[in-house]
Amino acid sequence: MKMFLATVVFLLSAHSLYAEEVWLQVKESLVRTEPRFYARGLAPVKYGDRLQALSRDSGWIKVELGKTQGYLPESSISPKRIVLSNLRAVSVEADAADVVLAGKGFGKEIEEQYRQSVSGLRFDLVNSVERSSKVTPKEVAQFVSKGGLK
Amino acid sequence: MRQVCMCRKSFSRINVFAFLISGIFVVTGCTNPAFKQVGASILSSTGYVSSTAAEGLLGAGSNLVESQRALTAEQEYYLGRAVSANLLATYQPVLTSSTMQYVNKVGMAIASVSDLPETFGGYHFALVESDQINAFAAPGGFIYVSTGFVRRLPDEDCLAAVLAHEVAHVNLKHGVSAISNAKLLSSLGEFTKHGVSIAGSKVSTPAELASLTSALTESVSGVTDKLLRSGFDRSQEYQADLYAARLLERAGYDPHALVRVLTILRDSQADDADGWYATHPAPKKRISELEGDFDFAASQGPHAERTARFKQAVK
Repeated sequence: MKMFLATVVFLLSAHSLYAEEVWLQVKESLVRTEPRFYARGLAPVKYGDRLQALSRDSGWIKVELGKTQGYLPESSISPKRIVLSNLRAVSVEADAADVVLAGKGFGKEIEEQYRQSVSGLRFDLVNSVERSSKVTPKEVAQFVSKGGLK
Repeated sequence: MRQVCMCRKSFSRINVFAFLISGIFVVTGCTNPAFKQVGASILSSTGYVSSTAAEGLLGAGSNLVESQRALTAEQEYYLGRAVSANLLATYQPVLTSSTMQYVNKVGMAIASVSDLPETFGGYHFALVESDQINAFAAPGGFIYVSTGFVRRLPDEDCLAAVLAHEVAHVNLKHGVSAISNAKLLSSLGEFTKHGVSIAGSKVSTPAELASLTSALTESVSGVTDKLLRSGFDRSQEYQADLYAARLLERAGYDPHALVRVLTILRDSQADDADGWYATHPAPKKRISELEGDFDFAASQGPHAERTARFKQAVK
């Protein structure tokens, strides 16, 4: 029984260590000084970047990237390894369920096929909306402050 | 007899423990076959469940978790783009720089305090030309509000309330829930298996392309139909109202603004039977649900600076 318990504890500990490695699942983000959206950015991070998770608190996760430690929204990270499919030398040995292949599934390639198969779609306007709707975190922080918001 | 009972009790405790441990493996290790196998071994060691049944149970747990993660953030973004390409074929966006900047700042003031402050490609808020009262939230954070709706709003807090309701739909994945999950998952599942074997290649096989394009077409049509015609379930609308009130409070806006918006909707119903009215529950019922579920503090009333900038930007 003791052996059984020791094995279980060992396996659970091993799993919790394994689970501390996380990947950024949004196109881009900033590792911030504090667990607040408009806190100062310390380092930019990109889709598929691997990070070490240190702790979690109220929707934020403290991460380590090289020598930098800071915060990211917990919803922006994934416990699944994200493999960028345009890196030709990548080797994937893990089970498929542990891996997300960036750009695979619904991605640019499928969008292009869809665009060609359906007439009258306005992807040009979608691109315009994406371009015109960009506001910087600094601009929003000022807007929030001037409007007496939190 | 007493001794037998004690043995049974003790054995039962071990079994409960084994079930609990195997349950932990379902939750924490369900995507890893090695952990799944350990969980199955522990579960079958109880003697109550065969090893095949144990693997089946753990597999069911895995499928449950997998179905909740049907789409990655990236896939949700591309689905949202495709839904938007359909919506914008009907509704022309207002691309005036000052209006776009203003609406996106209000939207981000709300989205940044939500549980999903960042989406794969970021949130995008836009006004669309239409006299109808309408608002849509496509997956991935594409949010559209009709000019006819905004014209009826008195201040920024009310615009924030409309956007908060839509941000709530995005956070709660209501758009994605419109997709027939089983078929989509089957498509993605087959693809993922194949995907691993072709990792490193940019190009999918023709069969994969055809299968995924068909899945995307079906998914887009399911979501677009929900947004334009059938609407979300009533319970999803009430959830979105409650979540929106919380977001308004967190952001520093007046949560009463949401009740003011619903009152405007109730009073405008006679003039506009289509648009939002065709896809949402009656405003009167929504007000009563919201007032029953949300603990409102005293209203702050209109904020002078916010009202002034609202009038300058969108009127």
